[in-house]
Amino acid sequence: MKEQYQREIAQIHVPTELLKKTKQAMQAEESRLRQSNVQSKVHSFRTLTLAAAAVLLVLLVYPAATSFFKGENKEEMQTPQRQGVQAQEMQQEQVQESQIQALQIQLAGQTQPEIAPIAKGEAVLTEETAAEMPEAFATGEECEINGVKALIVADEATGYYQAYLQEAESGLLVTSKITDKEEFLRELQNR
Amino acid sequence: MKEENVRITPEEVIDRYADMVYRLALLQVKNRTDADDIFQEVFVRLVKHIHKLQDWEHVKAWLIRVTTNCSKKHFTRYWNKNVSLLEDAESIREEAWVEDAGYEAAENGEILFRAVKKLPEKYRVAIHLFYFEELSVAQIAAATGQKESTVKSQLHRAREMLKTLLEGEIIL
Repeated sequence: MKEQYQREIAQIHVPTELLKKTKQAMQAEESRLRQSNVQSKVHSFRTLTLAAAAVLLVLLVYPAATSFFKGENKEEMQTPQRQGVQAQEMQQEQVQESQIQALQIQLAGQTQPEIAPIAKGEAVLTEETAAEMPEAFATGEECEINGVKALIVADEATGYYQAYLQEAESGLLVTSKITDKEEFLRELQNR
Repeated sequence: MKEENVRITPEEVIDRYADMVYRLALLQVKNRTDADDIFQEVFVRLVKHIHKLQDWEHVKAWLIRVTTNCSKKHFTRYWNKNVSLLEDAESIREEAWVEDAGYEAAENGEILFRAVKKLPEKYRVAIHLFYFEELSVAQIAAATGQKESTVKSQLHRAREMLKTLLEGEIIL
């Protein structure tokens, strides 16, 4: 039975015309599928491009907008009412900075730097009232400074010049760290 | 035997299985016009699903299943639209089937062929796949989406019916 059935059914074949038409339909379907795939890819690419463009726009616009509004705030701060506030803020910032520096120095185990030496011409002469003339001026050189009688002497140990001015009621002792007589007299006259 | 797993193209499939699909469709719907429609539908569907089919065995099983389903769907559509004309149409289609298929059976062959054709649809498919496509019961069950026991039962009943139809002319 099997062989007989096979012999019979094996004589049935697909008509050539149907085969041709079906192959054409398959090719059309293939190209349609390919096209729809391409379109979906293009569509997804477009979506991606739009999303990227939107992100880029936000990235560009946001900083610009932020700086614009900050600029407006700055202009507001320029009004007289705001200037005081601004100055206070600056002072606070300076204080904070100095505190931070001090802390940094402490943390680094460093000591505060020594105060710079006094600049030339500043506090060169030191004055103090003297009720009586010190003995050292007994051998001093007499001279007149701006109409006031003065005795000038150089310290034996240091070489610094000193002066004793005999003013009206009490004497005035002027010491210095100047070793040059001419310079000392000049400073004394400019006192 | 499992064949090598290579990329299968729709053109290769139609060249290899065109006759199988056509015969199966013809066996189920019994007329050439409907078989033509089913044939085209099956291979157009194949284009969409070819990337899912891993090997030739898988392709064959897929084609059998889709052809069977398309035939059933076609028959249902036909029944719904033309129920009043069914009896007339059935007789016309049966006559046209053999001629349209280009089949000129020999006297002995025609007896068996006509007997198979008179079986109920599910028995026809089981007999055809078992005897002509030489599928095992398990393969028929997988291809038609039925249990193996159901396929065995269908084959048994189909043989019994053929015995009766042929009145002992052919030894099964």
